[in-house]
Formats: sequence, C-alpha cells, structure tokens
Amino acid sequence: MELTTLTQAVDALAVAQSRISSLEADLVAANALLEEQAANFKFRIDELVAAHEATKVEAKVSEMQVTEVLASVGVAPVDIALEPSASKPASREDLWAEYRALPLEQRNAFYITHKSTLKSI
Amino acid sequence: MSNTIAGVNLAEIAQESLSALQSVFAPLNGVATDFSTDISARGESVTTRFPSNPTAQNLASGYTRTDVTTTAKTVTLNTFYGFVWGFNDLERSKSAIMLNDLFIQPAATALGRKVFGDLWNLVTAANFANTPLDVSAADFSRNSLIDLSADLTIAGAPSEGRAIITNPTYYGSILKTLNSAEFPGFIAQKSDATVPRVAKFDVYETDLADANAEDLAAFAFHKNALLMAARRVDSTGATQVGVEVEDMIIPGLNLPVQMRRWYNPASGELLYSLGVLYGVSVGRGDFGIRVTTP
Repeated sequence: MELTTLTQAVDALAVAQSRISSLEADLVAANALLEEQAANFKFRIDELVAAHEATKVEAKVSEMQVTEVLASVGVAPVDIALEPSASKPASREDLWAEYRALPLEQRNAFYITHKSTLKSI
Repeated sequence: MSNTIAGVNLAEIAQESLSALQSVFAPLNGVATDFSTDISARGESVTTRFPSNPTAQNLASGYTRTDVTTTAKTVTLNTFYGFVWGFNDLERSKSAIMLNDLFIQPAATALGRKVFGDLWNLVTAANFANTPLDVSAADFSRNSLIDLSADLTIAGAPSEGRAIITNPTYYGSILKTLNSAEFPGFIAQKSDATVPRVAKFDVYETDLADANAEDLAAFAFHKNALLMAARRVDSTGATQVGVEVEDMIIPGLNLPVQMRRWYNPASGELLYSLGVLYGVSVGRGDFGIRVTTP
C-alpha cells in the first residue's frame, strides 16, 4: 500500500515495530531452546564417555580375574628329560649289528624291512 | 663291527644274491624237502617216513587195531658242492667293475644245475616202474597232462603237491596248445611264455631235463617221489681264522646256502665260495610217471 499521508506512515511504523518486537521475542525463545538442547547433548556425551571409561575398567578387572584363575589351575613345572636315542634313527651299523643278532630264519624279513638303510650296492 | 673286505658287507651281498638263487632252485619246490638250519657233517643222514595207505575197517564189532606200515627213506648228506672263485690284487685293481660280485649269479647257476642234475639222475625206469607215457613232443599237450594226472590218482598219489618237470621242447608243446585255443587274446602267460597250473600240476621247464639215456623228456610226480635234504655246514673253524661266513636261507624253499669270503695274503687273492651240503633220494617210487620220447 502506498503511504500518502503522515498518519498512514505513523500507523505503518507502529505495525512494523510491533512485528519487530514479536520476532525479537521469538528469537529469544529460540536461543533459549538452543541453549537447553546443547546442554542436554553435552550431558549425553559426558554420559557416554563415563560409560566407556567404566567398561574399560571392568575389562581390566576381568582380565586380572582370568589370569588369577588360570594361574590357580596350572600344574607345577617339571623338568623335560631329553632322550636323543628315541628320536635318532638307527644307523646302518646298528641295523647290521641287529641283523647279525637275529636267528637265521628271521634275517631275510629283517633285511627286506630295512633294505633302504642297509643296502649300499 | 662287521667285516667289510673289499668295502661291501658280505651279508648284504648274500641277501642281494637270494633272488638269483630263488630263481635257479625254483624246480625244487616240486620235490619233498627236509631242509634245516641245523649244522650237520657230511655223511650224516636224514630219515623220512611215509605211511602206507590204510583201508577203512568195520568198527561195529569193536575197535581192533590194524597194523600199519611206514616206509623209511634215508637221505644221506653225501654231497657238499659249490663254486669257488676269486681275483688277485692286480686283476681287481685293473678292473672297473666288481669282478668278484660279477660271478655270484654264475656261481648260483652252477650250484643249481648240480643239485637239479643229481635229482634228475634218479628219474630212471629202475626207480619209477610205472608205465611211462610214450609220446612225441608234437603230441604232448594238455590232454597228456590230464592222462598223467589220472594215472597218478590211480596210483594213490594225493591231489595236492603234484608237479611236472619237462625239457624245453615238451614245455613249448604244452605252451602252444594252451595259447592256440584256450587262452584267447594277449595275456601275461603268452608274453612271458609261462604255463600255469594244468590238471593239478605245477609245470617247470629246465634244459637240465636230459634223456638220462632212457629217452626221458619229462617227469610227472607227487612231491614224495623225490626227496632232498640239506643242512648248514659247520663254519666254526673258518670264522676263527678270519674267514667271513654268511649263511642264507632261500625264501620259500628254506634251503640253507653258505657263502664265504676270505683273502689269501700269499697269493693276493680275494676269494668267494658258494656251497650247499645236501643229499637226494628216491621217495615213493609209485608216485612218479616218466614221459619218454618214442
């Protein structure tokens, strides 16, 4: 609407000022809400951090408990007696000595069994 | 520590020789044998007894003993044969091959021929009086073996343990009759020229099956018809002076064979020997039938 008189201008100014006051009130309310939400968000983050820290502590405690349980069920260490003769294969000389100690009737089978070691020709 | 003259254990040489000995002495599988690793001296004897064929009796009236007879057959260990070979230091040094080892197979063959020859010399009309089968080589076929088997059964020979030893010509005749009609196709028996068991006989071929001056071509028998005994030779004295001695048992046959090796410092010779102490004899003369050439 085109303002042609002073009265119209004053009225328009009053309306505008009222509108501005209303918007300012809305802005204040919005800012208040924003601050409230921010506070709530920060609180939630703090809660999560605290919960994480608590979980780490619990895991540490459980690990210590498991270690204690494992240690309690272990057996006392014993000395390992090494037996080199058990793992070492019989030499060609040993097998021939064993062959000669056998009765004649058993020598053929013994030779066939150990031929890969006994045979040299 | 085992002796290793010439660098190789004599026991190993002996073991590696067994397959050759087993092949050479294969026909002895058809003969009744008394082999033992017991030590015996030449001239000692081994006695085998064969029971008579009893007849069943009526037991309804009680148990009355029937006299039985056994036939004793004595085999005298009167043959100690073998082969000795050797090479001096110079000969062995100049040769790129193991000369001594090279002659183990020929020595085994020579020994086998001697043993078999002694057995075959027992196959005469005087020892085996059954009517011979007089047939030419060309007519000697599977039917001939069937006839021989029937004759042995009539003579009372058990069905198990029968063999026939033939000369190469008669063996070839049987082989031809089998190959032509009875074994169609190309089979192992044809490629190896072997005759399987026929009419209850294990069939052996050898060029040592000579005529024996009686036109002998083959001999069908139960194993009790021919006997062979063998024992180990005492080697105590030999080992005491450093001779290597290795006694072997031929697999399957259990024939004891002795191998020796020693070095003669005076002659510079490394010597080997292969020997068997044995004896042969006729067993049941009625359990063998000769095959003669007309």
